[in-house]
Amino acid sequence: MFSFDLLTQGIALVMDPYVLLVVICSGLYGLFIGAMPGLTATMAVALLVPITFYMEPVPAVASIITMSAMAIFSGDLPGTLLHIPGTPSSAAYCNDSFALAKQGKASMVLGVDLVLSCLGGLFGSLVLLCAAPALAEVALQFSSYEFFWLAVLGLSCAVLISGGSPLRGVISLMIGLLLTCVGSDITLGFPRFTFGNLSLLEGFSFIPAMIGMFGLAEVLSNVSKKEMHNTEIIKFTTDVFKGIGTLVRKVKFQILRSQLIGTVIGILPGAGGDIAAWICYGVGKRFSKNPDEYGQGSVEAIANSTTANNAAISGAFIPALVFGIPGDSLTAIIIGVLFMKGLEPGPSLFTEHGDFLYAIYVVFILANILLLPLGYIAIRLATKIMKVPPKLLNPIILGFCMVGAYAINNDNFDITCMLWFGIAAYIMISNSIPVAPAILGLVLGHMLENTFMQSMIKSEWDPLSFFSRPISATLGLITVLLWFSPFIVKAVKKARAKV
Amino acid sequence: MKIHDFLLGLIIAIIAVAIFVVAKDFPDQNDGKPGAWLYPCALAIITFICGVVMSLKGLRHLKGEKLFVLNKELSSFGAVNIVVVIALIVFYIEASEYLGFLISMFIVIAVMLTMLRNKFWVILITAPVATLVIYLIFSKGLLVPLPEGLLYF
Repeated sequence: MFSFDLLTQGIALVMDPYVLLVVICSGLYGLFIGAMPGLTATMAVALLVPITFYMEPVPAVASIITMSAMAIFSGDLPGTLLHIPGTPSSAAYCNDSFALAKQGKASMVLGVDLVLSCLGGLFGSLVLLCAAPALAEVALQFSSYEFFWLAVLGLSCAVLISGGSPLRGVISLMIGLLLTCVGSDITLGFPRFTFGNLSLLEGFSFIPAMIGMFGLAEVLSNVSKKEMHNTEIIKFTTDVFKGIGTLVRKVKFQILRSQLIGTVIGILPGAGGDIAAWICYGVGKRFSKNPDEYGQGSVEAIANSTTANNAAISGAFIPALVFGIPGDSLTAIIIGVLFMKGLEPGPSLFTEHGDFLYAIYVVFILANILLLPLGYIAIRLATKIMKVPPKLLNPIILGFCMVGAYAINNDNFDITCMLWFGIAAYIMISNSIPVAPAILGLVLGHMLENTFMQSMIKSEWDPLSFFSRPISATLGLITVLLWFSPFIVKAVKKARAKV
Repeated sequence: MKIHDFLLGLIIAIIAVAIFVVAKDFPDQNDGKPGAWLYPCALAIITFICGVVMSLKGLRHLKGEKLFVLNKELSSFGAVNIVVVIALIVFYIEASEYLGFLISMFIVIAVMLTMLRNKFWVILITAPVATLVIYLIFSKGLLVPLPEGLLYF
């Protein structure tokens, strides 16, 4: 239950000058890491852990929370300006952001990203503050059946995010899913399509794939043109927040929906900001009045996804704090830090260390408010990049792409993967096959196979078991309805016309 | 290069068949229930169907259309540039272990700057500065162990 006294104690813990300094420094660090292609928030947290060892529990956890909130936002910067998502969470709406940037609207896009990331994060923080235990109870009801439907629901978005032809969208999705077959299989550990290459046993890393399909494909496209120019993008207005109020009011219901979906997906173990962004993108397009604009430069699409990925960060902390179950790799590290500090996540944290728990809530709110000034500075600095002529910029981008891919496993094999993914994406784009569904397939492929096989083995191959549990049956019904909704809408329209 | 839908669908279908042929020999589970083959085979079947549908759709417009069309924006100069970028990445992959990050990345950036017709003095300044900045960020700042090769710091 909410306690005002504990909230006051939590605020007092956070308002310590040392804690505030740690929050600001880790915020700047997060902004830098997020803007670097190939470096994820998880990797940044892993680098931060040795430093937190010398800190008290509140600044230690505060530094990680602030860093991750900032990193998710700043992943939008290279996504918008260079077409290379800084973190996987920015991949869903990278095409829209870059398309608008090419129309000279980069500052508007980044303003929307910044304000809505802040709003999404604040919403998630408030949910964390008010309803953490109750929501964690629901999340724990999720088993492989529910996660299977969640994966299928996410994959159904592929058709929605494919832009023009649904057939090409499905083909792209299949390419992504087939790529997740490479590596050891879940049931027997049998090496599939590895052709004796040990580096392939764990399958393809998502980061080199993302850098290749977005970043390298963009570089290949740029160098193939007779003339490279980025004159439209450098037309920056200095006022990033101009017109944001009107824009936000226009999409307020979509924002609220994405905040809710993002937080809920964040709560589910294993489903983080990237999946939340994809699902909100797909749901947004399904119910949009202008679905044709999605993928071509839709502010609404960006609003939907950028709100969701930040809301998901707070959501992931709910099962971590209430039960000590990590929602993603980031919260797994946080749990480790808490143990290191002698604090055991779980019900005892609520009863014995209430002030610390509320301090975490306050840090979440503070980090998201700080996102506005720090993010603004980051935008102003990042936009300087676009003043560099493209014939100078593209070789440097290539350098960052290569090192970014390498940094994941410190292995040149990942650069090879990035190269192949880049070439494949270039061929796909040349043949009007959208890249986004393939990325979605890469994100959800393992989850789809793992949850399907787990469920089938558990139920001794009874397919009806996918509808045997209330939440699973509901999710299954929603998925089936989503598939058949175009036919249902058509039938209803026909019936109305007859009347 | 844009490939005609008829041919593209056909290529996709053939790749799907190849995947199916390889995957069908993957083992069952120990109790005889479907195992490692199930997922890739199911995906290969769906991909095959998509390829056939695309090919059949393309067949309707096959008359009078070319099977391969070069992109309007792609000049011979552009095609060479693409090959050079790919070659540079391959060079880095092969050479960085021996030459180290600093020398290999300097060569990659310098060659690409030359290819894009930058002025000599711009190349002379940009290539080493960009290499050094990337090195400092990743190696010294973020502790990524970049290949050391000949130059050891």
